[in-house]
Amino acid sequence: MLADTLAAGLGIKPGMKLSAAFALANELDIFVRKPDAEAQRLGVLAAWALQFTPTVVIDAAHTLLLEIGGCIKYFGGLARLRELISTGLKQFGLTVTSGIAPTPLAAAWRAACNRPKAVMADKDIAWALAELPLAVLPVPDTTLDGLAQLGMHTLQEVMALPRAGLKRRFGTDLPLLLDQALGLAADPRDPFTPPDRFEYAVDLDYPVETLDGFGMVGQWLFEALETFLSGRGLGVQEVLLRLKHEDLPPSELTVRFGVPGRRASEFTSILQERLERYELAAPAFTVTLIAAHLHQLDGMPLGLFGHEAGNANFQLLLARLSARLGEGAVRAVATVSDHRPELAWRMAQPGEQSTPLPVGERPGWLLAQPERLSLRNERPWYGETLTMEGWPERIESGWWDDSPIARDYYTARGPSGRRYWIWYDHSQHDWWLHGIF
Amino acid sequence: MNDAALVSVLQHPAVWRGDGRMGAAPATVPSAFRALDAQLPGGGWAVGSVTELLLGNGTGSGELPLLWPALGQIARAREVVLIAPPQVPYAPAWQQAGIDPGRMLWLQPASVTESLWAMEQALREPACGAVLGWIQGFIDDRACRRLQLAAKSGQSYGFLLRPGRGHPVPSPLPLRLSVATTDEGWQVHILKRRGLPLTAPVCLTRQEARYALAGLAPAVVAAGSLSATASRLTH
Repeated sequence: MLADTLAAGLGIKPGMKLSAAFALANELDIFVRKPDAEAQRLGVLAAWALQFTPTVVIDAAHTLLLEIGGCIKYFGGLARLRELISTGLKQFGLTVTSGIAPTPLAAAWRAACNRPKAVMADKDIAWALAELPLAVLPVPDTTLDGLAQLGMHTLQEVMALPRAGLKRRFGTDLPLLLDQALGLAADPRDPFTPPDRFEYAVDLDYPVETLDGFGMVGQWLFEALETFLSGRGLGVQEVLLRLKHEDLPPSELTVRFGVPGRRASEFTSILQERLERYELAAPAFTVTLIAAHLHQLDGMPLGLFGHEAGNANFQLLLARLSARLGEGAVRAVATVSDHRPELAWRMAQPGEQSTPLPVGERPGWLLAQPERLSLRNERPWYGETLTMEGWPERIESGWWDDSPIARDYYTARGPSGRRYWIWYDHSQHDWWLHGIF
Repeated sequence: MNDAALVSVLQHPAVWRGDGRMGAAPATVPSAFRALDAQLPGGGWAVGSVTELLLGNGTGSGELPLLWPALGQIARAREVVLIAPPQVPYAPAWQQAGIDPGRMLWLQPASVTESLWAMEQALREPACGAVLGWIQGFIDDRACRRLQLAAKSGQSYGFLLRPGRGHPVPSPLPLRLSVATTDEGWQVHILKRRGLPLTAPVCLTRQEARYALAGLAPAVVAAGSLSATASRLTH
């Protein structure tokens, strides 16, 4: 158990029993550590850190190791790089200690003891580690106790001992660690390779029951997603939110965005629209965000002052519209090169180009289903008697496939002045209404 | 007092004229019909505003020939959004009218509420130049004002197309017209506009519509009655 300053003031000490702590202060807030959530968060941060260096290592004990030797110049000096990293981490609401040294172990130990001064040269390592306490050593407690019994308190004292004696007394691990920290022995690490999909689960202490609450969790998840994506120049176009309920099978919600993006604020606004049409099946205990496909977002500068004008905003509008109205409700039309009028158009994606068709006058409105016209006094009738104007346009086509037509198209006019596009069918010998001018 | 003296007096900024249409003219896109432009405040459809168009004969009352020339202008740079149109907007015809189907967006919301929401969103977006909404049923003042404000913030042209002839129902929209078909073409009543009300209908002919689409403005189109004769002659 650990205690913050306020709790420590009430006499609560690390390692105390929970019951003893409650006896001292019964209004304690207890936060249980969630190792899974910590590992998950560290993975996201590692992906984020990839924007600074290609070699990121997730070390044990909540440590990220960044190999920055090769990229200091690129970021304009060590001070600037450190500032970039620390302000970035601060924005995530994290408290971070950092250390810089030529070997990973030395850097990790100095960071663990909060020694921010940078150590740049190999010859300085021994001096830099000298006054660190023995507790930083990742060795079993028995070894630490053994060293303490020998009267050792700092690394300097241990490093001064002959390695052969240390090896005999405490096994091979301790001398090897010391040599690795000093850069005398090799210390190979497996660099972090980011997964090609993003999955992040939040276990909630209190289940979300309202859509507002769900929106908040979604926002938080989108922020984690943005962190993950921004390190690698990636974006997503579609995410899946999976909600785990207590006694129901998990429910899923797919949110699509118009174009690949990574701004949490845009994602959140689209999610809000999507939630207008969504109902929680039951209170959710776990919300998981899954982005299965990641897209390259390189070469698409994000606006300096938030939104950039023009097309990007229109794409965002499209995404908002399809999130709220449904995928099928947002569409466009395009022309198709076909003589048959009902095949001369098709549904298209917004923005698709069309080629002009060399055809005669066509009505602006086309009936999705042509309507058969009844006859009154031998003349076609549609709420009024229709009178044909001018000469017919004969369209006879499609004999090579399943829908051949043989029609005479007329422009017809009723007494009201409304104009219709009707056809006389040569195979069925009847009149049909196809469009309205 | 002779005419020249009268004109110079009228140009004085302190003189206010009763018809009110000469005041700060809003930015407009011409409807391309001379007779109509002469009556519309600012000489065309006003930007950043929603216009209500009542369709006297339902779909096909002449709304497309009336709006197509202006939409063609707008679609050169911005999107045209159709919300819940009554039929399929036939791509070849719209293309003939000079509106690139790639610039058209067709939304089919499930309810009136969703349609109004979509229309407001589209109007608010500067990338959308013209937003045409076919909205059925009653729209209250508040919804109309929201649309008007959205059009103003997006500097777009809004058109609210509804069935019916002269509605007795008042509306806060600044420009309301009704259009109906006639033998020769179409008859437009301006039910409400900024400035002096207009009681006489504006008659438009199909000939004029063809010229308007082609971007021509022959002398014969200038006067409504003359062009009516002309079209009778050509037919």
